[in-house]
Amino acid sequence: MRRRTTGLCLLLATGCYSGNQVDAAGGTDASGVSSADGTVGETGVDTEGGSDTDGGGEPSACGELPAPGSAPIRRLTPFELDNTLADLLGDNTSPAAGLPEEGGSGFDNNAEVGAVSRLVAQKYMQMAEDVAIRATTDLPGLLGCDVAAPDCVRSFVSDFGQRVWRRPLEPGEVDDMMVLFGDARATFDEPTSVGVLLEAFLQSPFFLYRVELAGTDATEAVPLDGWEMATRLSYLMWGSMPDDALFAAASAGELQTQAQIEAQARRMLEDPKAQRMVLHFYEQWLLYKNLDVIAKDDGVFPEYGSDIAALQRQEIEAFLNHVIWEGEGSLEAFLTADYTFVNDQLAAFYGIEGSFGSDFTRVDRPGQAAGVVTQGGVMSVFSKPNQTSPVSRGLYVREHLLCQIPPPPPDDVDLRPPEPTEDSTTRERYSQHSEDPACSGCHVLMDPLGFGLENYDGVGRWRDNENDTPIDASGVLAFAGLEMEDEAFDGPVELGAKLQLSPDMTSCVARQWFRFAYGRTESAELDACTLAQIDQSFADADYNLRELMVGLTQTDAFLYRPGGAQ
Amino acid sequence: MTIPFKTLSRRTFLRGAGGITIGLPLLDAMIPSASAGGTKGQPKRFIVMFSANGTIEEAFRPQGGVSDFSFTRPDGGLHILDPLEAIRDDIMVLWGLDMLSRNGGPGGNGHDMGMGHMLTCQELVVGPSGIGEFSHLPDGSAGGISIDQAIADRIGNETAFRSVEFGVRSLLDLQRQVTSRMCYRGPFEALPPENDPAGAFTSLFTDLAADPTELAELRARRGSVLDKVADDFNRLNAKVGAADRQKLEAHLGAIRELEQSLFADGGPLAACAVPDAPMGLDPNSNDQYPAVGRAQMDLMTMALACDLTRVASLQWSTAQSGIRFSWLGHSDSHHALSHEADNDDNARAQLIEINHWYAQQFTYLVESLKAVPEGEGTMLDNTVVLWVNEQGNGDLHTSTDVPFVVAGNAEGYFNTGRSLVIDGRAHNDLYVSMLHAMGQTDVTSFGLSDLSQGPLDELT
Repeated sequence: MRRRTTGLCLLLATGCYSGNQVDAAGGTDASGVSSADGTVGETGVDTEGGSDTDGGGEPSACGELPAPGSAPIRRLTPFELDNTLADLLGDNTSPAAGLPEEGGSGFDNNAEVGAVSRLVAQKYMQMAEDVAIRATTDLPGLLGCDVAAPDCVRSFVSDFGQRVWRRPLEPGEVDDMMVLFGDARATFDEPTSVGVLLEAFLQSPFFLYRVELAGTDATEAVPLDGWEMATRLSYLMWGSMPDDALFAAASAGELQTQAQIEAQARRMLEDPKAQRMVLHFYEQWLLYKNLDVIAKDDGVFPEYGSDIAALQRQEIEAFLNHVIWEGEGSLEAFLTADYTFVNDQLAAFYGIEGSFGSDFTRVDRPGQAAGVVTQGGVMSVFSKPNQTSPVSRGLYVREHLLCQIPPPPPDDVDLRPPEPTEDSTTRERYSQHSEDPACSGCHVLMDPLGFGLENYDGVGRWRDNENDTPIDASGVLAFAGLEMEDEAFDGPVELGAKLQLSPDMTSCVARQWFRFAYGRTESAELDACTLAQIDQSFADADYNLRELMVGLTQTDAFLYRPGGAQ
Repeated sequence: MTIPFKTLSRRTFLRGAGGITIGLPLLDAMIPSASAGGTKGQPKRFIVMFSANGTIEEAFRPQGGVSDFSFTRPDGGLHILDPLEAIRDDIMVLWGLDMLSRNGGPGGNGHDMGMGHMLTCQELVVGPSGIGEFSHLPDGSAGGISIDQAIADRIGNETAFRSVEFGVRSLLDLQRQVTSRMCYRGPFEALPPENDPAGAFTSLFTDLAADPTELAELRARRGSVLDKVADDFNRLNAKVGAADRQKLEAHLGAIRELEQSLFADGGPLAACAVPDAPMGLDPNSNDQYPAVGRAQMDLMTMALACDLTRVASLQWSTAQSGIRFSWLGHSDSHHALSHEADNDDNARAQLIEINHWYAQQFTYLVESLKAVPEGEGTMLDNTVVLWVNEQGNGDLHTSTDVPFVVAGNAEGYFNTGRSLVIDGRAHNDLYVSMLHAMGQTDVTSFGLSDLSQGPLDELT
């Protein structure tokens, strides 16, 4: 399957409302669409066998030398800190819960924005102190030896140091830690003094940042060293620190070839830790994490409270877990699966008959469900408190699923949703709302997609009628790829099927993963090779979402660091 | 390593633990002896409060003249600033200032633009991807330091906290961070506000409420740990390139601040009293917005009274705020109402009610500061509180006639009790005046320098 992608340039050329700020240069990536030119070579990366760098088969966007793009230093996110401290010390108390939200470009791990303020530094300090207190309650268990025994603490510093800083400590670093311990012992008891060591380890940049120093004195791109690669792999696949096997591979120099790295990636995907990481990607991309904060109008949706919102979160997570890990893992199932997952309480809320128990169980919804496109939680998030919102839903499809950023609405327009009435449908009200030519130029991008989802009410329940009028869920998917015709559809199931055909959709999945995996936004120019590699491997794998993750480890951006200090 | 705190008996101090407000005599004993004699002058302080989505001119502008103004409307309707009548002698209402820097640079949405320019007075910057230059900037940023941080650079170095950023449901929009953040150390260095009063309390007051002997030990221990951590940063910084080093240096700077604050030369003022820990508040709740905001203002006031910081910000929601003022009986969001206020009387009335509500909050904050005795007067005498908005008219997303209210005179620098119209000046110059009020009188411009003409003489 060979597809070409396009940007919003085509669309802007057609005049998404004139008079507003659109790309005066005629439309390029600067207009807000994140897509490479999509040109890929005739030969692709062999994701099955794992080609090495000398094996040829690079997309034509790649030159002779590796082109990894930029590699800004990455600070562990609260999510990664919680996971890491759980794996490192068995601390499952979510120690990073109080840290502020940070990030950009859709993801909390964006390395290009954010700074550590004094307040955040203090929160790191408090976190380290709290973790240290819990970790030192069982000192022999932590140290693995009697604290008073000769070299017990020194061997702990050396062994624990390698795990917490994700690399072997230099002899001088061990010595420095022992000096700190000795100073502490002059005042404090043994548990407190070991706690001081933990506090110093955990506030160090060698813990809080993913330090990569390979290539800092080179002029050309260089491969990462084994410890750095182990860390890249573990935070990509697990959102956490490397395990013993990865450390062993790093130590043995077995994280050097693409095949070795691919084999590790495949091993890691089998670990349950990959599931939480993958869900962390999807909760941000599909924005269903907002189920934690949405509130509905009690007068209109009295049955919908935070309990239902939480169940809808479980529903979509059960669905994603199934599609990605148990099912075929295909983009097709992701967008078109005619089933979802419910338990008794959620089924009762949806009006689905049957007995499901308290655990989430698959239920077929032929003619109604279209994968994540119609997930109840997503429908609830992209609705108004008292009704649906074809605009929000359409914009969601456009921005999140197609990676197109339409221009902002012009100033001086009524953005207030039309009030529901008993003798009109939402479609009627919104259609009238967007009749203004100043609006309709752009709303053609959103509203027809949102209308296609009108069978789902403002809290994600299926409906055939609204105010006794049958739902009209027909629409057109336009501007979804350079070589894709406008596709008419009727209802959410057909919308999901058409989206699955969109080259911008497949390209968008890859770009969202790029941003999340590499902690930065793609540069069409500097990352052309990596983007082509991802697109190629995704296509070669017939758009398999698991294989996409493996493919992310086989790119120039992942395998190399740019020459020179960043 | 010295611990500049007198030793209190454990028994005496335990009375202060457990959320019970500690009285003034106890706290006096905590004042470092070096400054206990009150020899130093009263510190100056700066607070900025933000509320979103623009205003309505005739409901915001006072009637009458410069001094004989009134918060009334010819049609007898509700005036947004009516709550400020109680503090009219302490304030200046400013009309006519423009965010001229918004005329250039990237960005396409009036809210993103307004928020990013509001405290920085310079053009936004596009992120490395170049995406969204004419729309919102998913990886972009404000273009430089914000006025609160510029002021903190001058007056924030003697206290435990250089500045404290409070938020009330200032949730981060990861696709549009510029709408969500207003305080910046520099481009791409937004300072995230603390939205949770419980978190703010822990960060600010835990040490003040701790047993002094244990606290002394804890501080000594923290000092040596942070020394070690700083060494690690220095070793690493020597090896990395410029872009990474900048981030690491900022982090190291924060650690240095933290370290210095352990032994800060400040100390609680007479009115310092550790407040009760906020309980039972959900910072994510729309309906608890007023309660969370009140808790944050109380914590801010006491943080200032305890001289933990001299620069603070309070960000209500975000630009393009979608808060539903359910406690005022509204069902539409603030943002939705702001776009219909010019066409619909009911929406207009509700938008005025929202801004009136924020005026009540501003008044509460100012009156709280005024309730703290300091020297011969009150803490407000040495403070400036600035109320800002990212828009002029919210429906039109205008960058002209942006509403500002100033409270406090900064030890007589400002001539308050007036309603002023200042036409044809960039809001850059308001901040030049703020810097002058804080003692930095050699400053001639802030933000985009060609927009500055110097301080606003009308204000003094």
